[in-house]
Amino acid sequence: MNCFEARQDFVGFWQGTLGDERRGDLLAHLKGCPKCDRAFRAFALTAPILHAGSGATAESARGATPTGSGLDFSRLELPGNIEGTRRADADRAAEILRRASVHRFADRRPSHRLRDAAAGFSAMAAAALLLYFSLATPSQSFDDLMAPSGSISETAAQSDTDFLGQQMAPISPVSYDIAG
Amino acid sequence: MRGVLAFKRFARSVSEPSDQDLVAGALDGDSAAFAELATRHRSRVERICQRFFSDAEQVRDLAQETFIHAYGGLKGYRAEIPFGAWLRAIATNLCYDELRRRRRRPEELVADFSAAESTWLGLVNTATPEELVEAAQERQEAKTLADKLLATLKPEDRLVLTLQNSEDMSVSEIADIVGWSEAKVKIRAFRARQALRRQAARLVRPRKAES
Repeated sequence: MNCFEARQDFVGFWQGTLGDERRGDLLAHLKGCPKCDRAFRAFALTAPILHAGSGATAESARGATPTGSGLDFSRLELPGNIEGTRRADADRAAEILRRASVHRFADRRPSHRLRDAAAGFSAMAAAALLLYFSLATPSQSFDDLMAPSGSISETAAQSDTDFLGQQMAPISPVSYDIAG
Repeated sequence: MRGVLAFKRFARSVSEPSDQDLVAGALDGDSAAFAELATRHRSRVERICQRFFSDAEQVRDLAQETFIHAYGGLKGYRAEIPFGAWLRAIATNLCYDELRRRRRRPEELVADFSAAESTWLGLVNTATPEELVEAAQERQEAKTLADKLLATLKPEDRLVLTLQNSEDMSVSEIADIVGWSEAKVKIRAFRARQALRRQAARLVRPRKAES
């Protein structure tokens, strides 16, 4: 196999369509020919673009865009440059795209997430308070709640500690029996 | 699967207005019709722009510009050509203009490689041909590195290779969209392939013959 034949077979080898014999010849040639070996390695760097295989990738990427045979592109009329597009038309188109959230500026609209979250939180807090006051009905009336439960002196008298929290000596009962 | 897709397409065609109906509506001043067209074709237009540019912001800009151009040129649109194909032609031309505006220089190439791409490049220089074929199928970086090589070419070379290989377009389609003769497209494609391989060869270390 000479260099020309070897390079002709690069694509077939890359796509796996080369016969065994031809494939063996190519590998043997690449081993003995530094120029073709280098050319093959350069080919390998470009092959993902130029020889991607069956073309399935390009086809799938193309999606349902109708192209190729049957299209009469000779009647294709493209709009001119942006300078040629009337400014009013361009502004109108931009406005429509913005409303349809297609326009890139749509991404830059100020976010109201924080404001919405704060409003939601306030509403929930208000609802929780309302629920609490409506369900937790107090068993005592307002007057009961406001009535004094006892004077400070009474409270202190019932306790074994003084106002500093220190243990007090037990008080012996005092007899008020004057006569006795 | 294909049957399900076909059924969905049929159901949609019955329930939704066609592109031609929407174009007619947009020409009558119905902005919602144009908005629907934009929504319908947005991802497709962006995908075409992604063939030429990797920067997401740039892709969005070009997609938007495509729709603005389309809106301005709706009166010139002819119904015998699918609206998607018309949009694709506009997007392609805008991308070509943008490529011409900012051309990368080849010297920038090496500094741009990621770790994975450098590993792939090392493999290209050391692995056997069989190993290379196998590894290239599995490695996404093989594609990204090839894309970077493509980005170093002249705009017209890049355009013709992208349309021919990634978009799978014929010589006559490219000629019609770009406004070149078919002969020019063929010559340009041939030269573009050569230029791409020359760029790739710069990354491959020469080696001695095995005895």
